[in-house]
Order: sequence, then structure tokens, then C-alpha cells
Amino acid sequence: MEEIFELRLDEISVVAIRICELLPERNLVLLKGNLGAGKTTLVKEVCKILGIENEVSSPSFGLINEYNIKNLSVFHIDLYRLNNIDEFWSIGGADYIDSTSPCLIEWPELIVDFVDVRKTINVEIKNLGREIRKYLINYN
Amino acid sequence: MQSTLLALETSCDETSAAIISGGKILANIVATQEIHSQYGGVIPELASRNHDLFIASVTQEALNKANKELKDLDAVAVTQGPGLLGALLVGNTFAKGLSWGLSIPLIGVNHLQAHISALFIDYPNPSFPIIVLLVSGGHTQLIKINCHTDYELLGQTIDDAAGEAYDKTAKLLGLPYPGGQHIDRLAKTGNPNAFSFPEPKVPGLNFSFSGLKTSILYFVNEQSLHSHDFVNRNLNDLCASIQNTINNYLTNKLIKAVKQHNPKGIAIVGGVSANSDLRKRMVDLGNQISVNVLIPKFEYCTDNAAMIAMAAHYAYEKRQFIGLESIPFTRDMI
Repeated sequence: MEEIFELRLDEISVVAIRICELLPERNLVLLKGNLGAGKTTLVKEVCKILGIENEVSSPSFGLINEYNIKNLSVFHIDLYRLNNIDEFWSIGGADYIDSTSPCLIEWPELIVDFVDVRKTINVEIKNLGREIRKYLINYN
Repeated sequence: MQSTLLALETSCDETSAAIISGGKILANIVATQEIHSQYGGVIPELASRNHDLFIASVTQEALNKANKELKDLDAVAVTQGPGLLGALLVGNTFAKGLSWGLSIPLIGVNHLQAHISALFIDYPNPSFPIIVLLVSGGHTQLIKINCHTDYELLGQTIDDAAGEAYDKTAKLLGLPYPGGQHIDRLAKTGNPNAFSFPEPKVPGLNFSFSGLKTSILYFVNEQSLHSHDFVNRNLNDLCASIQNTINNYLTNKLIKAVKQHNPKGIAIVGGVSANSDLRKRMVDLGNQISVNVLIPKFEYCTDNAAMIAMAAHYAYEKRQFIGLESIPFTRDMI
């Protein structure tokens, strides 16, 4: 299935809500988009809907941020600094993507061939202007 | 009798071991290709985060450099968090093994607090309070230090870290990643006022850098439409202007914190403290408001075990030990 949204940045909750609707049956959200597309911003919005606020920041350096709410753990992962799939396995990547916890993954290109497509929501963000983004959501 | 401690750091990319005795750092070893080939055989290139390959050799190297043996150790300290769980587990398990095998206490150190303890390596007894700007690839925080062991978080980034802002805007300009150091170098011969970018607006002492990244992206893209080699022709001015925007923002927040808390000193720690313009601004600000300026040696600013050792030194004095059942934590807290 493919769904397409064209939104202003201040309407981003529309796409975040849609991702949350798809999440219960899937746990991987792969977020593709160039630098400055708004991947971390979208993760912030999804987390807000899940009840996590004020603690979502970019994991580019630390690679994995873990957020907890009640009995739910959410993993915010950023593969920007990784060079190959072995580095992903060596940081324990399998433990996260094979779990049932939501994993919101920025710069996922390295791992796309290694994830279970039935558990995956692909989100591609395209800049249509300073304030306008196109979101392409693909899932099985 | 002076206590001698071994400290280990494996929270993210670097594997490091340090020895501290009587509050003095005797050795601070960070895994490098050289050390690895010395102890571990041939590996084509140094891989980050291979902590299990490096930890025994960096520990031995630290002991050798400090002229100590395992039996001389009074305690073993380790970064307990925050960091990557898999990476932390290597250091924590190794430290527990030593603690158990040598029957010496185990000390768990908070990585972020240790970045601040790094100040006390070069400045053992500064006047408190001190306002610290912690700026690295992963963190941007303003912290008030009331004494060697009492830290108060005043504000932090709500999205990207300052170091990340440098590295990612450098990437937008086509510079290699991580590019903070290239911006620093190219900015030296550029005009800091050539271009202006909006200062992010976040209330209080918090920071935000992701909007700045986006506005630089759009500025560069729009200018490149008119003239395709805009970035190349203006690279130095762009670097200087970006650096000016980021450092103005950091220092303005620091000044705001200083006004609120009237410290005796200001300090900068973390990898971004390597930025020469930011260092100069700190010194100028210190002179202007007549407070001490504390900047640790750069080797103590990036991730290293010496800072873990310094934090452990104070914990040892207070007999703050953890048990073998303790587990690492992954989330930021200070």
C-alpha cells in the first residue's frame, strides 16, 4: 500500500497520526530523506502522540536513543554515522529490529534489505519548499 | 596512602582506559591502530565500537604507562551510562570481572558528569559556582557546578547537538563528515558577517539547532540556483558566517545563564571546545565580566577515560560504590 501526503510543516501531525495507526501491527518505521528534510521532527511528532514529550533529540552521535513511557520502550535510531551492515549488527541492531518495540530509524538505507517487510512502514520525505513536505508511506 | 584507580570508558565510539593515583592522571589511553597492532595483531583499519577487541590491550597499556600492576589497584571505575547498551556492556562486564577477581570495589560513573569532572584534571580547586557549556557531537547543555560533585542542569538542546550542527552544515557545503574542524579552518579566512542566518528562538536556556540546519540548506540551494558554483566561490565566507551564527547563539545563552547565576567561573567542555573561535569568545567573555575561564586540554574534551577516572576519584573519596548486580543505563541524565 502507498499513501501520499503533501503537508505544511505545521500540519505534520496528520502524517504522524497515520504512522501511529499503522504501528501496532508493525514496529519498524524507516525514515528516508535528505539532511534537513525533517526526519527528527517527524519522530518527535510520532513520539508526542505516543505520549513521549520533551526528551526526543537527534541520536546522530549516540546512534540509539531509548524513550520510555509506562511499559512501552521506543527506540529512536540514526544510522547516519554507520558505514556498513556489520557495524549495525555490532551495536546490537538485531535486538532492536527483532523486538516488538517501536523502532523509528533515520538514514535506514544500510538495513533495508535486512528487515522484515511485514513489520515495516517505509516513510520517504521530500522537500517541496521551505515549509512544504511530501510524505510517501509504504507498507504491506 | 594514595588510592590508585583504573577507569574504563566504552559508552560510544572510543575504547579508553586511564589510571589515576591521588587525584593525578598517570595514564590516559584511547584505542588507536597503533595500540591494536601492538597487542592484537593485524586489522586493516581501526573500527570504532569494537570495544571487546580493544579493552584488554588499552587496560594493559594504561597500567604499563602508569607503571602500575593490577595488584596496585584500589578500585575499578567504569562509565555506567548514558550510551549505547551493547558498548556499555563490554566495559561494565570487563570492570565487574576485575572488581570480582581482584576483590576491589566497583565505581559506576555518569558519562556526562565525567565530561564536567574533566575540568578538575587541569583545575583541581577552582572557585565555585561555575557555569559550564558542554558542547559535543551528541550533547549541548548548560550546567551549573556548585562543587566538585554537585551539578545542576540549566538547559539543553531540544533537537540536534551543536557538534552535529557543525558536522551536518559542513556536509551541506560538500565538506567531508565530520566537518566541524573544516569549518573552523576555512572560517579563519572568511567574513563572519557575509551572510546572516536567523538565530533559533527557544525560550530559557534550552537550545535548538535543527531549524538552523534547514535554513542554511535552503539558503545554499536557492543561491546555487542563481549561480551553480555559489558554494565554492563563497566557501570561506559561508563557513565563517555559519560558525559566527552557531557560536553567537551558544555564547548568548551562556551570557544569559551567567546573568541569572553570577558564577565565579565559566567553562567549556566536550569535543566542540576544539573550535578556536569559541575558545577565543570564552576567554574574551571571561575578561569582560571578570570571571575565571576554564578550558580543559583537548585530549580530556573528547570521549576519554581520564575524565571517568577524575569523577571516580571523588566517588572513591565518598566511598560511593556499586554492586556487581548493577546494570548500565542508556538514557541521558545529569
